[in-house]
Amino acid sequence: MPNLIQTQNLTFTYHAAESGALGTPSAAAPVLREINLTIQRGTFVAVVGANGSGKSTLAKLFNGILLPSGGKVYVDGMDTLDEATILEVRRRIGLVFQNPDNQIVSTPVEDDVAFAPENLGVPPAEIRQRVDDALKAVGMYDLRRHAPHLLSGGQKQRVAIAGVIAMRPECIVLDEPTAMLDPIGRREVLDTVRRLNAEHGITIVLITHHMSECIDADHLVVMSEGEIVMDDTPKAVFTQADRLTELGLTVPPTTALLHELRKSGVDVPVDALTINACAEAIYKTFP
Amino acid sequence: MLIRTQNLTHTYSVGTPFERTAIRGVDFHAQKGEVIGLIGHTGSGKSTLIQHLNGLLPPTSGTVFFDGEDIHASKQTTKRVRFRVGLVFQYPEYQLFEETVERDIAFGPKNMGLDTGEIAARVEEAAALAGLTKELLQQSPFALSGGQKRRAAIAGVMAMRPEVLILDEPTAGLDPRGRDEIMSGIRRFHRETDATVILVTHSMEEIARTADRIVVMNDGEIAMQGTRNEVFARSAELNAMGLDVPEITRVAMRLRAMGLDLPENIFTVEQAARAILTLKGGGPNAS
Amino acid sequence: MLRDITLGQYFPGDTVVHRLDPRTKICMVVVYLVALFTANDAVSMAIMACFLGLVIALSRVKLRLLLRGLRPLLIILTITGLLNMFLTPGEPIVSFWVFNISAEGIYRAVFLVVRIVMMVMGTFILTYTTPPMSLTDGLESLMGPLKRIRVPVHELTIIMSMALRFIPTLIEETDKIMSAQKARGADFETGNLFKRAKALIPLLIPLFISAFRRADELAVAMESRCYHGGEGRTRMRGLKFRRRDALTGLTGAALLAAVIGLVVLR
Repeated sequence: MPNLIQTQNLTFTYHAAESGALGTPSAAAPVLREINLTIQRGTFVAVVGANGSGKSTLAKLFNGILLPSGGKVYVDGMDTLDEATILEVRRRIGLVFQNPDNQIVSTPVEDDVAFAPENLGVPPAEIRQRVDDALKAVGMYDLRRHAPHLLSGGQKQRVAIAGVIAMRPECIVLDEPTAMLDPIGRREVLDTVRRLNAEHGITIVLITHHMSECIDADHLVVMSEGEIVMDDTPKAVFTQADRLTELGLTVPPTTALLHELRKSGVDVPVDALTINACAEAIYKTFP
Repeated sequence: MLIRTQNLTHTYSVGTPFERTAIRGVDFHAQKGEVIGLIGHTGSGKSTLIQHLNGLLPPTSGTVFFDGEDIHASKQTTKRVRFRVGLVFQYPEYQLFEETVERDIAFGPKNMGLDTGEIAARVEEAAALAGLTKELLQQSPFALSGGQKRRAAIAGVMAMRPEVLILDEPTAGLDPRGRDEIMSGIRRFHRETDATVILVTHSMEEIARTADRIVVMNDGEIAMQGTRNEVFARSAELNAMGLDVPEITRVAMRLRAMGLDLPENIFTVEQAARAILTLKGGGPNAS
Repeated sequence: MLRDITLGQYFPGDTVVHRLDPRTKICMVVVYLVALFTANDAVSMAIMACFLGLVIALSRVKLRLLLRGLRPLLIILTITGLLNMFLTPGEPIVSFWVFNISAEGIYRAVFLVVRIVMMVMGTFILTYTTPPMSLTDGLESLMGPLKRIRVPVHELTIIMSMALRFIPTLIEETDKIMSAQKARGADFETGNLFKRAKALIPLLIPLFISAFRRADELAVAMESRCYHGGEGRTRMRGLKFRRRDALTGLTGAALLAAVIGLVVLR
């Protein structure tokens, strides 16, 4: 089954009781409307959208933390509304959040990583193995005995990723994992994520505000006001710079430059995303 | 010189196992009306330095001068300086506490002991500078969107009409539109009050667009400082400190390496486009 | 500085004290406290001090760290000391105005202060050398029998563990909010009691809101990692009594016996 996550006419509205307090949207209007999205096994999908476009809500619907108000979410064919399989769903879809401090449950690092397998009832010897494997996969094995609150932001976030890898998930959904990090931390996290995708075949859903982080994705999903407005390759999405600007988003600086040149009549393709590709494309316009 | 530090050193938790010298022998200065970009990776000492500039942290050794006067000369001096040097912390929206946005912005001016009329005028002025509409002023700060909360918090510092405004990563975690709104608020404040602005950020694009002078911190010391040209020209050194030059500058560097005769001072998309078009207009044999 | 508070923190290490079963350590703390409050003369107190010294040495916890942990208690210690010094009746050796200080008073004051210091140090050794999760597991196992009378043992212990885990985070947060409000001219240090209490509002409201937000996010993160209560949960470090635990138990029993013996024999 190539489809790992599938949503069918997914609609979500916060109930009055859950809303209002603590910054959750208070309007009774649906946060998500008629979302039909398929995420294929092994792919790297990036999701962008302005604040309040419903991206984070969507992430929490993927693993059944939130349940659809209308429509369905299927994970590996399992309906997230089915209580009997909810733990299986959550095991398969690991979630990593923006603030690393609020998702680390224990200290030292290795005890935190053990949290999920412990919850899953994995035998102790295997937990040890999984914890070690997970920490090695994110390059934090040497710091396994450290207290997490003394680590850097990028390191904390890698611990959080190890914490979900220890579940042996099919997919990791990361909700703005780099928003609170400096450039070093951001690079650490992104490199880790890309490696997990390429080497371990883990499906990645990366929710972000940074367009440069989407360049390598297989698919780029653009959300606005609770709907999916674009779902294509990054190249194809970034050719529509004006549309993105309308949605309160930007294109990477490389694409912005190409668009700017094209507007001034230079015959240059607008889908060169990396720095080298962009320079090549511009260079070619000179005789 | 409006603000200046002389041989400033700060050590945290002196005499404990956690003793750590965050900045060492720092000579920093800022002139009236200048916009300074302060960069450096997490833990490089930026946050420690800026908390000295308004007297929040007392130096372990060294002196901070404001307008030629040692800010720790007396308690009154320190207190006065705190209002003249406004400091906006990271994620400042987490400090909002009043019932309405208006009252929250008024907190600073009230602590200054201003009269009611003056406070009202300041609140109105600061709200306008930060880009908050009149309707928002009567709302609870907790009902605002993420970007609006951030601007309300920044307005709370602007309302003190500081002669130096220091902002620690004012755009972190916001979407592109939110970032633009914050940055244009800061530029508006600078234009209309001619205050000195010190901007701490990880975004080289923001620095490139806004700063007259760049100060780079590394391992508790000032590693380099100068104009954008001077600093971004040393991209290898910046990389070694975990920092980048703006992506556009990297495209321009790549093009220069390929043989295009582009100028060195390209930091923004507009500058790059203009330079490339000029080169094209300069004749068919430009390459 | 607030961030110097080390209450309930765990400092990773690999000593025999760190490796003991958490249940052994919890029981030992109970035995230690009972012995400490039984001890009522210099000899028994000296035995207790030797025992504490031995544990500190074995655990390689830095004495400085323990002393720093006492800092927040300084006021309580001072008040206890002074009250006992002045209010204990006896032959005055120094007297001024209405106060009389007797030899008994000084002895009592020193005795009580030492006892509190030793009590706090002993319990700190437990949290300094035991990861919160192990502490939770140990407590849960020890309180297991209470489950039969429907006490939600697992829930109580996990709450405790989360509280310990978030102490450093919330301290850091308090520090940050305080600095941010000070930058807007808030004054936490001067004025009368009423004024100071009022000055805390700009600190407490953001702190509470932040704590709730963190709790909310933490709950989501825990559920996302398949947390569903204590049922069917396994442990990476299974609790297992070893020989060192038995030896420690014997030492504890000997300590208690010695102190009780001394007190009874006197």
